[in-house]
Amino acid sequence: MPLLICRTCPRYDVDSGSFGAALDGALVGADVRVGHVPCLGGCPNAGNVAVDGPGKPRVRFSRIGVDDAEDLLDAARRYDASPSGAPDDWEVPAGLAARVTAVSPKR
Amino acid sequence: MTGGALIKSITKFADGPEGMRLAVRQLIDLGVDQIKLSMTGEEVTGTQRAEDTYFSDEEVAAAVTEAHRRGKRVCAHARSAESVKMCLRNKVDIIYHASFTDAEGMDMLEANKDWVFVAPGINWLIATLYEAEAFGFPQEAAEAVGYKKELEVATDGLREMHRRGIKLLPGGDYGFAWTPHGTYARDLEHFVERLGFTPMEAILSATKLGGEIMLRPDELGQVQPGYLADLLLVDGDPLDDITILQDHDKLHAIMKDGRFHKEDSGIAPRSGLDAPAGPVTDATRQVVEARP
Repeated sequence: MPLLICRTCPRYDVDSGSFGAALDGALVGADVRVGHVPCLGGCPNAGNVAVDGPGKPRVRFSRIGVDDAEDLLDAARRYDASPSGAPDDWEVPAGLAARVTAVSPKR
Repeated sequence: MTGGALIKSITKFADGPEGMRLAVRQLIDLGVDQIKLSMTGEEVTGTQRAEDTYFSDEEVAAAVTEAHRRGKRVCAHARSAESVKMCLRNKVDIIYHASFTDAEGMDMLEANKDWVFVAPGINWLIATLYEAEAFGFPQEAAEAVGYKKELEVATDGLREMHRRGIKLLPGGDYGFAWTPHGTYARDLEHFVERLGFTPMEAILSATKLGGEIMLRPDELGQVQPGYLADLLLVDGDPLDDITILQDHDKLHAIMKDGRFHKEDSGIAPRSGLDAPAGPVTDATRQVVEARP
């Protein structure tokens, strides 16, 4: 499940959930597996997406917008191709590098 | 007891065996189902350490004796090695966390594995260590107060508990800002990825053991004749990918006690917009539902 999208961003606003819906629209036809989870725990920085996979750390990006769709897909492909999934072992797209807000190892 | 509360506003204080006895009686008089002992600290407090034990054996014994005498179970927030052993010596029914279980405590857990339950609440340690910066608690701060050490020690201990057949259950300590409600299935991923469970073992810990810990092993937690119909219809195989249970779009139907909480729908699994958390425009819905 390489790309996780938050279903409740922006949590503190009246349009909670609109982020995921809008990003879905930008991912139509994507070759990357996308999952929708209730929350990624990055709420103050609304617009949360994560890459995740077996044996690999979860890497979360925050303050994501619809314009980041291509970079997200690129990140998911690179993460999937990386044996370890650690950000040091694959090149995070330049547009996302400054918006990595959590790297959660599995061990 | 005095000095041991993590959150004073939700704590009832009692000191000494007689104080414990009185407190348990008062809580039972209020109608509680279970007594919880706050036996150790919590690193996030900065002052009350996880390895500090605030109860005495006599206090735990009095609380448990009184609660059991009245037909109530006892659980405990017990991170320290000593608190785990204290729980087992005094027959505390459910041990939360057990992060710093030592060799003696491990042997005691195994000797009592037929009745004791351990629920580590492992996601709290992981999320607090790695994912709480947006809420003002960066990883450096979490490491400084001891969460990295605790997660490492707890992981090793829980893997050993699993190997010895001690009953471990997922869940617990969700509902904080960085451990949001609705993400409980992440514990199943932690059990597989971090603690060495197979996907089926993780599912059984949540279901079959869930029925046992709720004292209804003959009607909860299994898909068997005579059991309550608590069912999930999942698009995919969680035995192949346990994380699929975190994706609510993959939960086509949810049934509780034989009644649908979420009915299977031809639209929902394709669009993922059957129950959005907020407003969805018609244009967005059309685009997403057109997705192959």
